[in-house]
Amino acid sequence: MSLHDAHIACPWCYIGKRHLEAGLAALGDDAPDVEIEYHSFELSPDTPLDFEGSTTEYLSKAKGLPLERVEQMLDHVTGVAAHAGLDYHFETVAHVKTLKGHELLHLAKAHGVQLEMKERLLKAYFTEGGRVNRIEELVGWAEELGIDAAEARDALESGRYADDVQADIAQARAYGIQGVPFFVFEGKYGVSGAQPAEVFSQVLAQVDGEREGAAA
Amino acid sequence: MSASERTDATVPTDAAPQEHPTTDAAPAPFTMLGDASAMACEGDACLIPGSPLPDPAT
Repeated sequence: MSLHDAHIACPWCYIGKRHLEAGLAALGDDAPDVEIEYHSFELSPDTPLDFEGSTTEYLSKAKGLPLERVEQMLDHVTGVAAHAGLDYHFETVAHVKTLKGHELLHLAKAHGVQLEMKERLLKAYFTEGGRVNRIEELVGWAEELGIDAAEARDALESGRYADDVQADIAQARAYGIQGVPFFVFEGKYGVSGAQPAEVFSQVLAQVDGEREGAAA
Repeated sequence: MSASERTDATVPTDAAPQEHPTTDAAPAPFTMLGDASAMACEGDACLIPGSPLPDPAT
């Protein structure tokens, strides 16, 4: 079974990832073999390359909202994340353009560690205040996962995977995907948003049942 | 049209996932499953789909 999902700087994507993992784990011995592949999606192309202020300040300015209101909203998301076992620190999140991070995800895919890299980038972004657009930091995370630093630096500096990132974005647009997370199961079923774990369990069981039925 | 406007169908936790019809905003190639009002990010509105100004109490 294959499924697709996307994005680095989307708080609901990290939460949805955890819910998917929990939904899969809840199936226990009945859990199907799932092959996960992440595809790039750019949420907000007008995001500055390297905004120096806080996420609260960025959203307040971009949305014309009082800082207190933005803080309330981010506190709400932080609470939902905590329920999923995630430790969000919006006060340290660096609101930056994520395309280079997506290029690193493609490099990681070529090395067979895309899932691990996705987790690493999400943790870096939401928990550690990492700047997922800075090559120096990206190379460090690549090294953590066993990718040669020189290769990672060359790939990122040359934009080796930039076209692959844009191809993913174009495909999502062609599919009509407007938001993330968006999960595609077996190229047939779509699940939008950070669904509860039990929904993922149900979808996985349904899709696996249909697959087995078709194979019988 | 935002994700939350695709349908207001919800999925009871003890029932099979509901299929909901695709609309002009839904990805045409896919049959959508699950709760269509689940939380997602669209653009830089990453709180409640379709609303950049969600009630933080919800």
